[in-house]
Amino acid sequence: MKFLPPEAFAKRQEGYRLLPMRFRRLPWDTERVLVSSISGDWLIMPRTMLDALVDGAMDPGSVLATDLEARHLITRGPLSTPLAPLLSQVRTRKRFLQAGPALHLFVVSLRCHHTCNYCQVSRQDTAKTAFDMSGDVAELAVERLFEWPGHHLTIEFQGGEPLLHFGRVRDLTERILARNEEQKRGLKFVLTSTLHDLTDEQLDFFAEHKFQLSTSLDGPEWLHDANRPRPGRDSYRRTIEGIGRARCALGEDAISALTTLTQRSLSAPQEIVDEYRKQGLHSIFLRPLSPYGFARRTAARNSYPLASFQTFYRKALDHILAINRSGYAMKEVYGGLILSQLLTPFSHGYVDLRSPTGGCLGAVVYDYDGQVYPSDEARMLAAMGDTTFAIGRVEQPVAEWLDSPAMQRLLDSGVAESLPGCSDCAFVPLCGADPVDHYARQGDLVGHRPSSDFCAKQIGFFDLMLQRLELADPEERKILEDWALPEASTKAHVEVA
Amino acid sequence: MDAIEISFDCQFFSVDVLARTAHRYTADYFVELIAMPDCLQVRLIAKSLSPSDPMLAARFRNDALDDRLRAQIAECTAELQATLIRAALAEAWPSARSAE
Repeated sequence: MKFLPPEAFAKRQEGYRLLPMRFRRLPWDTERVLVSSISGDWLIMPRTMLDALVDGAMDPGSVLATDLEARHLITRGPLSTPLAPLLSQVRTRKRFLQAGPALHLFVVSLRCHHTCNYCQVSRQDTAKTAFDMSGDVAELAVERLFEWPGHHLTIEFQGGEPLLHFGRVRDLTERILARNEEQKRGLKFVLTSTLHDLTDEQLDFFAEHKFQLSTSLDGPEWLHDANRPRPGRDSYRRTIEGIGRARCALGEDAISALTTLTQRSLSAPQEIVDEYRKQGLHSIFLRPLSPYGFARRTAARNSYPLASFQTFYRKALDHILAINRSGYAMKEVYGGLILSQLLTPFSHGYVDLRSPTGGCLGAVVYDYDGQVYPSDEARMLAAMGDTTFAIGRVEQPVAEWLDSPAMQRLLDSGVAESLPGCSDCAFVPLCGADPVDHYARQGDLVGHRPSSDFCAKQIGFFDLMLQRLELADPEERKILEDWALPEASTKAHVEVA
Repeated sequence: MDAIEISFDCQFFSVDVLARTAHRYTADYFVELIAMPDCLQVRLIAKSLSPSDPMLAARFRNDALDDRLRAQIAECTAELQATLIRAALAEAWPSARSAE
């Protein structure tokens, strides 16, 4: 049998037309660019070829043209042909918009027995029960919760230390479950706690309702206790004990931990990672400090330039990957979220990586006193006396929150694709907008991208993960690809952050 | 602090393109854009006292070329982009439960 030559099977070429695209030179190879489509699909190509492409001088029959078409960066046929799949991709990427906020944070008490100087919350002394959520506020907050349209709701209890007001955690859970008998939503409960002083009664309750527990573990004992002082200077011992007891009661996967990085943490990337391995944890979330609450007051002592965090992160990442290569699976959560954006067509809806902003569109915070905020950071600002983002109170219906001036401000500055500096960034389809963060750091909701730490952090992560992917050997690439996939053991991290 | 001056041919670079490029430098530099009779001039003055970047002018020129290319792409695709976003988000309404 005689076959026709390969050219006979190629698509008939009639030139090509550009589809919307953005590009960015690769910092580690400035002669090449990352080119991204409107939906966040991307490829890497020589910068000179991009010139040729835009000038209409690229061979429409080339392999590169085929690749560009597959990623919806050009079309070689009628214009209408690629639009339906491209629209579908954009909708998939922005799917989080359809469900309304999925994460609902209930601040049951501001009381806490720790005196962490990096705390971004307005903690109160353990005896000050005036800072506990009342039954009336709880009842109204549950009413509001079910006004949201989402079919799946995550309810996270936090503080202060929520276990200091466990009665309200129990009360809220039972109210929500009772209401849900008629509503039939998918519910998930999360508790963010030091896990100190966990009682058997509490553990039974958490087991009965399949709670995910999230705690803070800042590293080895010397570091954890230095970062998280409490009477007795035994925070590490109590946390490890709490993790152990919770695992016995709820199972290994029900417990996750994250670390907040102070200046002193930056000297110990390997030690921090090793501590997580020692404790049998398979995920670690390396979080830089936030400029809120008590953290702002102690910034001179604790804070550090973003570049120092990035240096730390690279070292920690190298170590985590080495641990993975040795056969112990461990995932860095934020790196995983970035990889998921890069390698999958879906969006996980993590608040820092969604546009429009996650504030009130992805998460809602019900404070102990009945005030409602679009994010934990907005609550921290209010605790510092700035109520710019207080969207309403639990006595008001959700519709009034959405009509509030605070919400309007958020929406006006919460779409990354329309922000100066973001609008032409190749990462914008994969990135997010955070007006609250820019307001807190720069005094302006839109923010100044060239000097924005938020922007530098995001771009730094995207660049780093792209570079690691490109330079990785097959084994490392497989590890990084696995990180892009969601898994149960890291879900709590994602939702609480 | 001495200013670094970079000139651009106005036949190839618009004020808008150079303003976009200059904006990228505003974290570290005070920026001035000056329309001369035969060219556009960009003046950069470092905000800090740290040693000046010997590649600054070259880097700025490369970035300006990139922004010029972005403007070309935008010219070809802006209308289509707006149409696509409108169409994609037209269905981004809360699902049925909100109407219940």
